[in-house]
Amino acid sequence: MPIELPKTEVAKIQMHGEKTFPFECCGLLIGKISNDEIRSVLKTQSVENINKKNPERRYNINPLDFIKIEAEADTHGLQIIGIYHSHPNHPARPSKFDLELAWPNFSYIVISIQNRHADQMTSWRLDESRTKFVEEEIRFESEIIV
Amino acid sequence: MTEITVSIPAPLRAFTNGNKTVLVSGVTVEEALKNLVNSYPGLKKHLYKNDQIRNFVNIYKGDTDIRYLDNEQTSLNKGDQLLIVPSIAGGTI
Repeated sequence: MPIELPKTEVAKIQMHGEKTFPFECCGLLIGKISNDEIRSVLKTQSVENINKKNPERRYNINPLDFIKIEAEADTHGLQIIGIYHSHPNHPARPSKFDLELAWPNFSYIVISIQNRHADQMTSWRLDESRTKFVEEEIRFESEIIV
Repeated sequence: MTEITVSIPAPLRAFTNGNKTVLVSGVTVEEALKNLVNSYPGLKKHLYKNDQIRNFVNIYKGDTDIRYLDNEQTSLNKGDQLLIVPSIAGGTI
């Protein structure tokens, strides 16, 4: 099933990746999953990459940031439905490391930043077997109403 | 019976019938989590690898990560709350 992503949030993700280059950026996708399993991102929330050891190749999100943003999303009847992060000078495909640490039922948006310019954006979901990612279609929307 | 609340993060709620919190019994974190996965077997492969809690799974007792307490032997009292908090990480290679 596809993930719907407003163009405004696409721009925010692109800007975030370009601004943090050559380091990886990261953030949370906040929205809803409908009864027929269509995922709609209503907003993205950038967060700090707390990996200071090798941020060019790794990102870490502070668990306390996750708790706080999840609680806030809950109060608005929304939920965290995924994560975005950038790959500086690297393709927009999840790595083995991404796979090892992936959570089920999250959409993982990966954006390639090539020499400080936003390039391809893809989205992936962890397969039930936990052995691979399955790519999902991103529907770029002008506006999402839920 | 020592009944405690476990807070379930969004990516795992599909395995707890959509519930954000569930009640389990346990006098230690280890016992509570074992009872949790017995009640909700779909959680097991995402919380454990080779019978050990996956290193990207954080367990908090209230506000404190159990790594700063007694890990899985951390004791629990009735009414305590455990939070399963995802460590979200990844990278290029």
